[in-house]
Amino acid sequence: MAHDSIARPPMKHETLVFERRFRSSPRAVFAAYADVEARARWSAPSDATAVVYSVSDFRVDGVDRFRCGDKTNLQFEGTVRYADIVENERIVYSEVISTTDMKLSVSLVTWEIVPDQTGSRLVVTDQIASFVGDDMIAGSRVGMNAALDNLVALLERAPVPERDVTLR
Amino acid sequence: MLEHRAAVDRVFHALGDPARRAMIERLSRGPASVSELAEPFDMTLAAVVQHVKVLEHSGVITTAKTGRVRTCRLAPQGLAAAERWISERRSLWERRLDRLGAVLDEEDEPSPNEEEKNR
Amino acid sequence: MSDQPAVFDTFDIVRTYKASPERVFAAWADPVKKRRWFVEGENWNIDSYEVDFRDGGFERSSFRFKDGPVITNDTVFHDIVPSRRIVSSYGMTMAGRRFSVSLATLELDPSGSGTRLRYTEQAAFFDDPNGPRLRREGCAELLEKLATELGE
Repeated sequence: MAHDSIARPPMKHETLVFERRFRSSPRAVFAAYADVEARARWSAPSDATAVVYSVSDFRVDGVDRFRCGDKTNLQFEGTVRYADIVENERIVYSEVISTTDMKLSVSLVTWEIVPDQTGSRLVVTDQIASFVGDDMIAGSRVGMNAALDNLVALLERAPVPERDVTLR
Repeated sequence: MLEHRAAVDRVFHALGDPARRAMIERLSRGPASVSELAEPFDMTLAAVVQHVKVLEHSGVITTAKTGRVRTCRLAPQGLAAAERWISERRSLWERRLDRLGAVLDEEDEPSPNEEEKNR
Repeated sequence: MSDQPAVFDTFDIVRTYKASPERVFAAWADPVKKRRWFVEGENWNIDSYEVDFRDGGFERSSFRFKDGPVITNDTVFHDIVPSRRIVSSYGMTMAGRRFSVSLATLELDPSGSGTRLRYTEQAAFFDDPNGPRLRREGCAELLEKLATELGE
């Protein structure tokens, strides 16, 4: 088993940062993540795609498993493991995305929710390692932007819950 | 607009502007409101606010709003602890990888009276 | 409420070794070999160290620097390609508080009869929600001690 014959591209590493502002409280933003049914809806990038969870366990060391992709195909698999959860403030998880044949990427994702004057500010940081080059990283950026836009739209439409904006 | 930079880059970016460095120096003498920070500069308040955001995002300062006044203060612990942790992580790994080399070399060269080292 | 945003950092280290990729990989995969170089030294007291080295497996350790607070390391292996690659994520706690989570990529490539090793770490460091005091007393103090120790 000296040297494998498959050429393995070097891993690519990148840090992607996303920000959104909400009129809703941090509690509402956190709840929209914690509620897996809501999450499955807003995290699908478009109407032609879907996210379907087979396992959901939103707690530290809990594991989620889902399939996503075209509604008719759901060609990607995701495994999420929660590393840290601070209620209404922070969610940290690792996420492995693969197809049935191979792994595409591993990410360390940090969600930080802070109150601001108008409601809340969300910063999502995706420290991504791609097994298959830059396209996967570009795709992740597009997908996360679409999901967060959906999340904003969802929370803007929903009735705003009791304000929880605590001034520090 | 948030920039996609590593944390250390963020700190260097924060420190890389003379106006921001002057603000840090002012804050090293004590907390100040945004308008107090703005006083020595010939720039719009909006521009000052932008600088304050960059400094806050880098972890060099913290801000807190009471009523209509936003007060800024230096976060030396934040800067020092994060910086220290970051540089320590790297040096920790450099030393580990040095030791890996030493362990591999030991495995490689049996001498006549070599005994298997068990730790 | 945290005072500060999380801090993110990425670094990578490249090394070459005379040993083959198989032997370098074995030094990572075999817990007996790994402890010889991975564990920091005399003043570290290891309370527990268990490993299940496989894709989807784990590595867990609990240790103290002299009589300092308990530090834990929880590693999950996301991808293992024998003699070529290990991708894992690990979280650390000190005195029960999660202070960092990292994504670690190890890549081994043949270089002549030896190995080119690249270790990349993408790390997230979290503020103490109870304020800077505990971080000063805990993390910063430990890092001071560590820096002194490593400086010898």
